[in-house]
Amino acid sequence: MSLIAKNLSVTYGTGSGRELVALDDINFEIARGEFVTIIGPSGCGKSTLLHCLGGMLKPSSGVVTLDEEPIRGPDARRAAFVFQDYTLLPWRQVLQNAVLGLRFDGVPKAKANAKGEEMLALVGLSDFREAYPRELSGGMQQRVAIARAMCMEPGILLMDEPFGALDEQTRRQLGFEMARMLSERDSTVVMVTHSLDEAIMWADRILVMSARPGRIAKEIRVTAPRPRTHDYIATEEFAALRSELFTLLDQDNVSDLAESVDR
Amino acid sequence: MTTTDQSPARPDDRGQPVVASTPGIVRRWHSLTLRSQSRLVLVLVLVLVALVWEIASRTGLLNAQFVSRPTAIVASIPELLASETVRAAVIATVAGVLVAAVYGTVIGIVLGYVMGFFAIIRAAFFGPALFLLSVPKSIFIPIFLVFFGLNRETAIFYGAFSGFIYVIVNVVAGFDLIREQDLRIAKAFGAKIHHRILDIVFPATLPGVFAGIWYGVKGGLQGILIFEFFVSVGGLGALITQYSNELRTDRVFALTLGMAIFAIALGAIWTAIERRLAKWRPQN
Repeated sequence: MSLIAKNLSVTYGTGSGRELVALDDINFEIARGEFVTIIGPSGCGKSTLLHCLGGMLKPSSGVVTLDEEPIRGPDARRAAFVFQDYTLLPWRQVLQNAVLGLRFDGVPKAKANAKGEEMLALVGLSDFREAYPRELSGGMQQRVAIARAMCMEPGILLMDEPFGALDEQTRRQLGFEMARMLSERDSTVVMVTHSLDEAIMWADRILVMSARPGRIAKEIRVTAPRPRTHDYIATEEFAALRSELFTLLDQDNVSDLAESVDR
Repeated sequence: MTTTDQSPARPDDRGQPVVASTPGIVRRWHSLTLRSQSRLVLVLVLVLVALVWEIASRTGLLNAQFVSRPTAIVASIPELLASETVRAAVIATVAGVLVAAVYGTVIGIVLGYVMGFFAIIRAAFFGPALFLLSVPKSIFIPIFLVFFGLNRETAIFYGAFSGFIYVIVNVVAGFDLIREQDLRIAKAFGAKIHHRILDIVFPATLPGVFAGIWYGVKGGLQGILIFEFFVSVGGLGALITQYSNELRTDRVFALTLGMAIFAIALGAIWTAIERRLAKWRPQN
């Protein structure tokens, strides 16, 4: 299985009749079981790119294919989303939220619930299956959102800053747990993040985007095997990658990055 | 041998002993919750008003024929309860309110959802609905009389009319509670149109519907009573007007009190139903 973005561009029309190029000629390929993080300056089109990969947004030109089949619209069986704001339905209990996609897909209730229970157990929330979202912490709500996506057994998991709304300690703990779980299940993941540490810690490969118009400015491979432990943060490789990313994303270098792509 | 607590009371910031100087009643007052305190204050004020009213009426400070007095009002209740005329009026009004509330809420909910779903209809009719909301509904009574005649059904139609505008406005406002991210999730997970309506739109708009139904019932009650006050079509409103003209002030107050208790009971029942149906919402 591979996800391929080929000559992908997204252009928006503005109110003043001008055109705004959000993504420009994006090309990459993601292999089965690969964990790819996308990082870049604010407004560079990271989320736009993720939405294109999941069929939530139709590109102006170019194509996204999964197993050589073009993605023409959202299909959680092929690509399931985890968003930053969790977005659990407040009127549904945890289990009902977890099986939401299965319900939309017409899966019989008993079968869907069994799958939901399995995924809630995986994210450590079996005891909260009857709780309402308002009764859960932010970290717990994000676990439910991950369980909801995992219930679909998607070909690829698309995570849009999934830990962005959490405090530092929770995001680190949840990040380690989820990265381990996804590695063990050999899930294919594309994760947008603002965090340099997250981008390095979980990824096989980091796609660095330039400022608008968003382009893939650099691909960085992280060679250490996954899942990684806390010790990896203290390694020279981590420090070197962090330094490289920091330099690449430094405000003064962002425009140079875009120009280097032009050349 | 008995022992007594010899430890000195702890001084406050100014060095004054606190516990020893605090009377028991004050300590008991502070141990009550704010809700209990507020209820106690309410009861005390009502008792005080009744007492002043009673004394003023008995001493001739107030004309008892016009303002009656609390003991006379209480005394009139058994004879009102025994009266066939009063019972018939209560049944007519309560039944009218319930039928008007059903008409008003059903029509209001349907029209509210139509306005919510279709932007063009909302743009065309929400403004006039808001205008109707701000206009005193009683100015339409003559129109209802011309259209439907002088009978109980007209009172019910007018009651439904008084309520359904509130229902429409609240249901439409409920559409503004639909969160963009919920629709995004529905799209991302392949929700079909009926899923979006049943799983997102209906639950999200429910607070508006709940508020609308309550205002619809209240509007129905007000509409029926106002119609009965103005037009001789029977019911409690007409009876209150009759007793008022006969200077039976005790009966006027007793019936008004009865209607107020009916409205409060309806409100309490509705709150309980709403709490049960929307237990996912924060209770505070």
